[in-house]
Amino acid sequence: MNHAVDQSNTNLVSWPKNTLLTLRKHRAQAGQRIPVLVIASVPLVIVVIFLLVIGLVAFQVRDHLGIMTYGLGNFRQLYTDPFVYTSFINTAIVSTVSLAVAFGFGIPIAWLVERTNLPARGLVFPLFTINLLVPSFFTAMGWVILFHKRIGVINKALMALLPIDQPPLNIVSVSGMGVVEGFALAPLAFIMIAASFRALDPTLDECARVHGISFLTRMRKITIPLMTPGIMGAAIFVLAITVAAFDIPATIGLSNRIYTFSTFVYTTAFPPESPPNYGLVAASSSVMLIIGFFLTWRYMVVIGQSHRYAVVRGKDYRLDLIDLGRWSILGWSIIGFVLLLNMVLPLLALVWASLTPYLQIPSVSAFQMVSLENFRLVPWSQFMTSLRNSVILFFSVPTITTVFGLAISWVVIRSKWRIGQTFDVLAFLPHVIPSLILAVGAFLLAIHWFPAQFGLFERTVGIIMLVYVVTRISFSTRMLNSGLLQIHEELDEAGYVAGLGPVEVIRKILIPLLSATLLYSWLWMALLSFRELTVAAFLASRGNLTLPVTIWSIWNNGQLNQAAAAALVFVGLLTPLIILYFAFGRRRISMPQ
Amino acid sequence: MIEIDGLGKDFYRSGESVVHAIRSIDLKVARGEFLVLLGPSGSGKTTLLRCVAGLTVPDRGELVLDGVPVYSAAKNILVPPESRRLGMVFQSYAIWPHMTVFDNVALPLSHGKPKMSASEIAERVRWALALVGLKGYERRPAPLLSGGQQQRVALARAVATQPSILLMDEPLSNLDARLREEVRKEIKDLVSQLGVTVLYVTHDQTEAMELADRVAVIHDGSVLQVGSPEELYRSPGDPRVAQFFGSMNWINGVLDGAGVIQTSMGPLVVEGHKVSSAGSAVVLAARPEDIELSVGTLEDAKGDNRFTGRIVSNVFLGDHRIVTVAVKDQKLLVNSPSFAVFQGDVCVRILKERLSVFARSKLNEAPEISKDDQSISGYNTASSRPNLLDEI
Repeated sequence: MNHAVDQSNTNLVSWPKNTLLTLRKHRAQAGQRIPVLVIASVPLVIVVIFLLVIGLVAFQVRDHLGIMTYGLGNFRQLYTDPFVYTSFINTAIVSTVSLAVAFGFGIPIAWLVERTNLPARGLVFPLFTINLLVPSFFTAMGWVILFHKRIGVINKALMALLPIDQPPLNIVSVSGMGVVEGFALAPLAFIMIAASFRALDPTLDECARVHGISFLTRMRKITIPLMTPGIMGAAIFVLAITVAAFDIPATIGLSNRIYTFSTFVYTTAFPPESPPNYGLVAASSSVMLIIGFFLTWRYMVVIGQSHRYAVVRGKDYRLDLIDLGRWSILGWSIIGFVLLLNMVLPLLALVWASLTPYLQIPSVSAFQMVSLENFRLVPWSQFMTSLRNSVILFFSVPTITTVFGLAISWVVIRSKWRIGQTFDVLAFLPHVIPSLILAVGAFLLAIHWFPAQFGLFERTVGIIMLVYVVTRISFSTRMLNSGLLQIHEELDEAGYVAGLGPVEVIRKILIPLLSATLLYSWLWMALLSFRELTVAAFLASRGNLTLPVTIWSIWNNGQLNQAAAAALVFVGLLTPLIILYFAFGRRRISMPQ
Repeated sequence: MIEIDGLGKDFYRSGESVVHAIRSIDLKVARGEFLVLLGPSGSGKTTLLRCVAGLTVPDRGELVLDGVPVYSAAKNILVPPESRRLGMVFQSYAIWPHMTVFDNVALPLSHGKPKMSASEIAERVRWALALVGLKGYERRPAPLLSGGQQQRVALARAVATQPSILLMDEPLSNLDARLREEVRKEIKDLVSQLGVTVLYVTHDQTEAMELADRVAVIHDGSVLQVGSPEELYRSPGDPRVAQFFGSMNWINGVLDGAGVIQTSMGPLVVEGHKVSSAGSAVVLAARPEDIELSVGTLEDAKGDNRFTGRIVSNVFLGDHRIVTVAVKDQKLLVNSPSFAVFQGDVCVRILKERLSVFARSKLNEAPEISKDDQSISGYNTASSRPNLLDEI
């Protein structure tokens, strides 16, 4: 048929010669779509392979002679082992407590920022963004220094001041970890709930108001029912994070033998004494995966329902904000409380611990011991090696992810291929699959199928980079999807008509127009890669330690004061990067008010 | 009854710049009257309506609804919207999307003031839905309705409590043209049937003319003129009002000692104008239907203000024609009968009793006409309409 078209074209003698050439060129450029599709599918195929590996290893059982067969043995062990049972129950408690804390603070703060005239409310968003960027295991370290049952500074101080012989607070407990986790996730809950407040048409509430309906009834009958899909969506997302959270359980629980799912997987894969049981790791990961898929499915259903509520929008009113008056003091107290517990107190605790030889209540004798000795004792050669690794990840991960993300977004939004929908779902997966599980997949794949090359994996950050890229794909595509949707498709079409192929259209038209989104998401992913602990800790070996892993391992060896010193150096390195992020990403960060 | 006295509201943009959304507005809406607030976007009409509803708190002035003061800056009174007992239709309809039609209409009855029994509520909802022609739609989820149906639910909800005051904020702007015309008639019938006092915001002058007992033309936070649609059309008190209703020919001139206005076409006689001092610069406004064309020479015609003109263009619009005629270098739009065909030179007569005269200084205040406003004018002759600012 192409041949026929060509012939009819050549028959049109009146056509100028270059037009014919353009037509041929255009057809040749259709071939450019294939490379885009291939690039887009790489990370998605990797995700699927990781998951398949976990599924496969979960059924691998070794008998006492070490001969491998397939069976349900791992799941049987999972079901009967009381250690597994305790870990899963602990995980459930930690998740429930942290959800309650995160949303108990996140929802009211979102309401304060979006619907009231709280003074300087524009600061809340950047402050919580900074909060999100401070690694939560630093916060956890600070909390341990302050609230540990035996050695916690505040506990000691309270026991010295009050007539009590038991330490009043204990963070090293299951519910204690839930509280720390909940505060750490409150900024995220706030940001997601604030977005659903912004999406809620204020006239729906105003209309009820004019028709004589009181504030509480409006909350009960209008605002909360309409916010439910948004809150549910956020809760499911946060739940997927808490269920597999590693930082806080690893910092608080691991050295005190309180295990959650993530630390259970970690100790099963890297037991101090006995040989590792990878089958059990895979089996428990697949249980988590099933829970993750269930949550994803619920999330999709909830989000799907929210489209039902699409309503006719009127002109955008200047939203009349609720006057808080003197109540704004209470508002800022709540926000300040969260920031105090998440950032200020832990940071002060780290500073204090880094300056003293052992944990003690601030006193005259303690102040006489203040020195920079801990900073000298930090294993600097290891610190510098891991800094180099972290810097490599800082630059490589966002760059590679952006290339893949752009290709996926183009396939999803622009290609009009039916496979776009599949890509959309696959790219969404890492959003709800805990990154720990992807790390498990990568790890099992490497040791089972590439044992010869495993040494190479251990010496370089390559495998960490790969998992980082795969976990960030969701964020990248979601950002670029919304960016692409804002660019009118006729701009692409004008490019095609002018004779550009898809790759050229992406390069010459879309990338320049998306530059703000690209820069913002690049910086965000770079920062996350720089501070990440979970994946890097799970895939850690002598040659590929990252900075957070190094600090965490100093901590886990019991050198709390040196770890605090190293953590402060890390914060010092992170600060200019955060400033850089705000300098370039401010357009996105500032509240649209 | 709505009494607005010296009401004002400022908004503060980031930094110090102040936007006077409403400067100082006095307005009285009698019991059972239909008053339309007409103005271009950004004129402050919606802010005024929201002040009456209580959704926006004014900065100064007083507001009395049915004899009850609901806002007074001096006496420090502020009644919240939920206690003002109003009905309101929003531009977006604000239909609660998670409820059925019945629940949407019933919520103000069940949770507003005064409380009603369940059977009373059911009966009232049925009554309100029957009023807007949505009988039998009670169980429908609200988002599954069409735009026009949602609009009717919003109307039913607003009148279900039988409020004495009904506020409407551009309720028809989201409907397509045919439906708009239909719902406009329904609103008019329903309102006269209920005898409710209505404050209605729109930027559409056709809507204003068809619905209003009186129209208040709002511009830049102030009321330019209040009056019946005919008053505003026939004797606009301000060039911006004249501009807002239909097409207008603008002719520059200077008033001489004898009360005659000298223009580039020649002298024009005007009856009963208010511009007094001789030598002052004025601008004349003549509606296209207030200019007559006839075949023949000046001597054949009778009356004042006769000129010889030349036909420039002739647009057939079915029931009438829009003819552009040039008298010297002044172009005039003329409404002429459908069957009259003019060519070449004609006699042009401008009816002196229908001419409006404005001081030229007043025109300087007139803001630039945006494209939006032009499309609103009655005739589709936006391009041929003389631009005020070009002439000054």
